Amino acid sequence: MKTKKLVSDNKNLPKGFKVDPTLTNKYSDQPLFKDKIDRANYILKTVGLPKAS
Amino acid sequence: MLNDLYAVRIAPDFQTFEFVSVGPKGNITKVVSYTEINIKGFYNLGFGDKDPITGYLSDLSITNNGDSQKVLTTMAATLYAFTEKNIGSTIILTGSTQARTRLYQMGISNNLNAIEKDFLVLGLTNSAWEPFQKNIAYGAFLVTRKI
Repeated sequence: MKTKKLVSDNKNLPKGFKVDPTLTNKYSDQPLFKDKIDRANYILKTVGLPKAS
Repeated sequence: MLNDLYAVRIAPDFQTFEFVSVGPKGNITKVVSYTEINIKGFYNLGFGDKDPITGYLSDLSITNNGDSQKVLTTMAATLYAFTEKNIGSTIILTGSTQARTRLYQMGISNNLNAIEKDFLVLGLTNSAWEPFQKNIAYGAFLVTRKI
């Protein structure tokens, strides 16, 4: 059985996190969470950005 | 850093993360996706389940796999990886339902001391952003990595 080699290219990643090239464009055929993106844009448009402290 | 996480696979662009929830309802693939919105440097955090048949993602699924704390912690850990690669970015987090927004609120509240060591967290009241405080109901959250 073939195994996929996962790449860990960053020592600062949380434990158990690995880069996996097979995820590239894996979900490009669907609009990911479009409703939430629209809501986020709406919130920032209406409420504005936080004031710098 | 956070403990008790699922193993996570990351797309090379560090904007898509996948992990598998394991529990009484079976193995359920979860996906966290960061998408830049209309304001440069601001990213929406999307989170949902992958349908095992269609492969489509839904942020309305209710899994009840008995591991919500571990799932939330894993989701929070993706913030570390994402902001490691996207320095200076701000993430906006809203729940797909009011119940899920409350769940996020509880997750932040329960881990606030750990989170605030590394992140600035703001909550949205009716009309303004304010520093996150426990026991206040917010409608959305903004998260920025401290430098």
